Amino acid sequence: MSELIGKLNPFSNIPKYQIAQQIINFGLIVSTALMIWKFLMIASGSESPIVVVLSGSMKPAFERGDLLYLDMNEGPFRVGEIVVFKIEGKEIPIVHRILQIHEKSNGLVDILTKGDNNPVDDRGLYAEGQLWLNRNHIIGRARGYLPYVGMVTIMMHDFPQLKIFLVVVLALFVLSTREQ
Amino acid sequence: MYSITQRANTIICFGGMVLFGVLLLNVLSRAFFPNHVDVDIKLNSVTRLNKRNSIEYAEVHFDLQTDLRPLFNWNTKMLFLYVVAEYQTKQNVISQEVLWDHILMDKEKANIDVKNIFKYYLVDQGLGLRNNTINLTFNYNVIPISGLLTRHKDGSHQFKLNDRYLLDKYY
Repeated sequence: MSELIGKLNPFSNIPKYQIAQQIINFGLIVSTALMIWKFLMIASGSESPIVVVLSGSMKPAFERGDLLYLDMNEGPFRVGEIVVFKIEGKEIPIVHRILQIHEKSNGLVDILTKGDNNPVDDRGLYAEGQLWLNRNHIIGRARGYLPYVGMVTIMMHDFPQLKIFLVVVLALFVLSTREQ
Repeated sequence: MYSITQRANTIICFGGMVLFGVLLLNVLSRAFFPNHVDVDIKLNSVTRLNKRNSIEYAEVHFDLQTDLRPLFNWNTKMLFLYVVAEYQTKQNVISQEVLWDHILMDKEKANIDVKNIFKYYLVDQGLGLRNNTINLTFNYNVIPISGLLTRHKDGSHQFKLNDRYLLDKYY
């Protein structure tokens, strides 16, 4: 019986030290990705330095699946900047352009946004009774742009099974590849 | 020795590096293209200045003449053009509002000469418009095919709003 299991198990004829090495390799890949993400967070000052555009409201500038690099430095917000903001009670951040700003003497700022492809401003998207955005709603300003790169994320978002499938395949692949 | 997965891995890695290199060169090449344009923007007329619920608003028409054809190069996907009204009130240190915006995709349509443009109302947060000085500026945002998003300001015009309410002529 144990021989049968041994034949079916793809890992049985790999030496133990090699399995250990593969696990460490896998850990290295994951931690490198995490390091890059954390480094980008520090460099940009934004809690989410890279976002994928999820809607067509900024067409034709940004399509679904395009990638944006954000930063969030101290400087004042100006009209025309493309910002990513989050509304209380809504999970998905929105990428839109600033249409109006009103800055008070104490540094507080009222911001109104609009999507390039939308006919009206964003008041209808804000929380009920909310007329303006403030600095604390804003996650970052769009600085860099790469088309299509976020398409994988969009597909994983639309088909959640794909995410599990990809992770399982990748893990098996990394763990079972033998160095020759 | 060289399995199909190893070959695929090498090709994808190298391809990615080459693409990233080309992207960097592409972004750097922006420095060799001009980003200054001559803009002539001036006030045409203010056809309305009124208040509703103690908020003042104005209908500002302006003329715009500019040639943006030099801004189209191999890394220009589109230009986002917008005209900003900037002013100060007792309530706000600075207020900026977009009065007009336009998406420009086509180099053939980049030679702009339009009179009497009006798109959005100038709406204050309070009663700060009457007798106030407004600064109009022309701005554009370059959306590249890939790379950095930049904003530029060229051309400005200052005018003073009336100190009395102007109702619509047609009423």
